[in-house]
Amino acid sequence: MAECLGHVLLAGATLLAWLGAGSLVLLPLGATGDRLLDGLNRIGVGALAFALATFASGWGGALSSAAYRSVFALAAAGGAWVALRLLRGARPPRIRTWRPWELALGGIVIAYAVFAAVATCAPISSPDALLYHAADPARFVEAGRIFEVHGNSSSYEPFTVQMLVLDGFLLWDSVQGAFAPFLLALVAVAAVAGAAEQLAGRTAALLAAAVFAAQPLMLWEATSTFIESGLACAVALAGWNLLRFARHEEGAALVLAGLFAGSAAGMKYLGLIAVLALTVAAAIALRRRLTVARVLAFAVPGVLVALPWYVKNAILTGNPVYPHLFGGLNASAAAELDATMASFGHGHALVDFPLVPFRLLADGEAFDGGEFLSPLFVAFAPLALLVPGRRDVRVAAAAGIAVYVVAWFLTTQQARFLVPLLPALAVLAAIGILALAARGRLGRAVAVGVTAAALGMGLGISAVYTAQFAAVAAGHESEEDFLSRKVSLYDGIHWLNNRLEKDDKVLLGVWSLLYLDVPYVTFGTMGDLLPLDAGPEATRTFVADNRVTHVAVLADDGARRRQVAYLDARLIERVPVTPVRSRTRNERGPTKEMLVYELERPP
Amino acid sequence: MEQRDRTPDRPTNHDPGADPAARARPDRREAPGGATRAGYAAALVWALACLALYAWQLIGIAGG
Repeated sequence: MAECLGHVLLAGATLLAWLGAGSLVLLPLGATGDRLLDGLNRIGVGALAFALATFASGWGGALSSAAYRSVFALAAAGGAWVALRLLRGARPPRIRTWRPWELALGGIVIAYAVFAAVATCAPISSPDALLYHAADPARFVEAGRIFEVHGNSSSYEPFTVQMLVLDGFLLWDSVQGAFAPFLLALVAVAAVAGAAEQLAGRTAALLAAAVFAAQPLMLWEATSTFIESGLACAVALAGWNLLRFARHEEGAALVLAGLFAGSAAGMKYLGLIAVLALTVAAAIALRRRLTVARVLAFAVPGVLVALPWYVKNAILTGNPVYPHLFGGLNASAAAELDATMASFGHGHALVDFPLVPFRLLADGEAFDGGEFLSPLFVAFAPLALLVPGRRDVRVAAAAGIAVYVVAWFLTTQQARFLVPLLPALAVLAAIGILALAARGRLGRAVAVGVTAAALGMGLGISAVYTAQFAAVAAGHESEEDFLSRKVSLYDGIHWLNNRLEKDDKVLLGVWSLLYLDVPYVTFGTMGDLLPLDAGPEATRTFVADNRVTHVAVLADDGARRRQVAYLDARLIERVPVTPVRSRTRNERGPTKEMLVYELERPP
Repeated sequence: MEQRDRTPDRPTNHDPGADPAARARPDRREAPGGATRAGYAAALVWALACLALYAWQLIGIAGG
């Protein structure tokens, strides 16, 4: 429990450090006229500054916990001073004047923040994080530098959020790293509430925050060392700054909108689609006020903050967007990547497009976690377009959302890849809920009933999800027991850690790499390094080039076992291992065997 | 600083037009922006249908 509290306190200090760094970077730009937006802008820019500084020092071979902690302490102290200045004279929310249901909305958002803190305090167990979101930063910290991670094509994605995860490793450990996406989600919630407040008042702000944050999808997202909460944060801040510019024509807001849009492109290739959507929305909202200077004020900061990641890829692979456009993978890996991308959802035909909302609501599992997405977005966001009054912002947001959804439909239909849209959809849904509630008793009953039911169901699911992490976070369950339950094939990793020496090197196709303490090389996540159909010569060359001493493969992996047969290898152990089918739903598969071979070492 | 936010585009919480709900209240037959009674009736049915589909999905998952 004390450790968990320590992580939460350091997470608070991290927000202060981001605030301090961002305040320094934004000194020349001046403030917008909104106190909350100013604070969030500084935090967002500070996070970006830390990420880019880590990127630069990592490639310079200068990653150091001592150096990072010094900078962190200075930035946090500066941030504390800035926070006091921002809070001085600020009017605290007058909660006594809130209606009971407004208190309930605020309470449910706070409950989700507590849930998220508890789940984040547990050891990292999300498969993607174990493979690269946290595993790559762990390797970088151990080496004291950032290097090219061969064999996992996802490691070529822009890594802004992973740099913040790496900062957490430098500060303390992997769990502290996992707090970075959670903090970005918190900033996103605040930005959603702030933008909704500016558009439609306090009630809409509370509703929008609850619609956005109080759902199992965001809880899963914020507590699994994923990237999309960072994308949501970037999009929310870009959107709110665009709104600020549209209403008040403050130049600083336009520059910051561009900067945050660019930061989305620096977090993940998916962010490029978010940038496209933001650009379409901005072009529509500002169509009568566009000038070359304004376009440049938006575009140049965005390009500058995103560029390092694409230049890095161009240098390493010759392809700035490796491997999704212009190729670069071997044929079988490329085919598997394409098949994986296309495997989500119910189809990519034209007729499937209008069915997406219904299928997300009724059969969301095919979208990988779609069942965790709140129905309130689909139920109420379209209604915002019916609300009378100035519709420019709502129409522009809807156009941006439409562009994003089409791109999502055509590329890979994963539910969590919709997260960057949720800030805008939450604000629209809040406006829609309030509009329906104003249409007489029946409208009010439906608006309140549907919203309460959806929030209630989500809260139940989220409580069950969080309960899985509570025991280990509170210190009532050992880390080893927790990892055995939650991490696929963990017993195999545990065996390798206990039995192999530091001068051994294991070749394996197991992906829970964060917890593997001995030197290793993989076949490549999709056979990127050694294709499944590689023959004897290629297999022997690969093993020799990588100085492999052991091979670990699953007994039911026929292709890899065939390749092991090409080697001079001796079976030394059959380790019983259990796959985890779904960590979120606590589903485990039947026990398998991991075969461990020792290779004859050259004399 | 706070005053800069009090523009006509950003109504205060004391303003009857502070939120879309309040703005939509005076005329329940036909809103000036084109939102008709039929539109809101459809929205009502749509919201209920969305909740029903979602609940059906969760019941299916819970039932294995």
